[in-house]
Amino acid sequence: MLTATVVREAIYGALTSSRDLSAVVGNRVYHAVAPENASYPLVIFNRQAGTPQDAFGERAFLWQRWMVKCIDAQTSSSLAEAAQAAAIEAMTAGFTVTGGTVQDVRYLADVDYLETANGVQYRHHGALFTVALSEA
Amino acid sequence: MGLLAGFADRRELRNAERLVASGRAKSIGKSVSLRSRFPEISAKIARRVSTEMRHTANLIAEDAASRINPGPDPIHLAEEIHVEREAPATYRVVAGGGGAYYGHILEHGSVHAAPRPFLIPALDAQREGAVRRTTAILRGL
Repeated sequence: MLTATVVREAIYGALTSSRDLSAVVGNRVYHAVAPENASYPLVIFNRQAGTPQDAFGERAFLWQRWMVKCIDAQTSSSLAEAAQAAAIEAMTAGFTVTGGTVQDVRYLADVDYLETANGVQYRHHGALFTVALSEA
Repeated sequence: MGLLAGFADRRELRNAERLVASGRAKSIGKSVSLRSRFPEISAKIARRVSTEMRHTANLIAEDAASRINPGPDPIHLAEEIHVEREAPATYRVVAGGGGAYYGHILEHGSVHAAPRPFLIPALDAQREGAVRRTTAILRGL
């Protein structure tokens, strides 16, 4: 069965097995929010939405929107943008899920913004993806 | 023979007479000129689809606003979600303006807080209805 955990673990696996992404963030890939004392740069991934799609009275697909972004605390966006490119490549290369099939992974849009917290400027660079899944 | 001038056979002539009777063609002597409905349909598509897109954008804005818990601040993001027209049949749902600057932070998260998406879920929730209504408009032309 396609549970939220199964898809989350599959995406975590796709991101942590990317050499290009690891070259920038090491193993600092976190779901939803980073631990309080995590060092930067790091990657955050999160499911933004999930919608079932029925056809002929049956569940045909599960559409999910996932965000993957890198956060860095430097004055330049270069590292975060390199991680952004690596994340897009890792996601669109496809991945497998237990109990289902990934029908499509589509790069939807970029996510880029600055955030200032406690006098530190954080650079968020990432992307939104549409993931189409079906039950096995 | 004179009756059939300009037509291949009697069947083609009968078809032409039907078109004239229905108002979709005009008789000019022994031939007919067909009236294209494309300009009329094209004008209707633009007008009706644009109206539907604006309606859908308003529904997305309302849906998105309903997903935000209003906090204690005097300026609430939910009240600042609005629709802007970009081009004919193209509308943008904007979360922000006024003093509510934090829509993107709420949607995508901050260094200390997990994302609490409200725009993308609203878009996805309204997508099927928009497709259904637009299909109905196109079928009705």
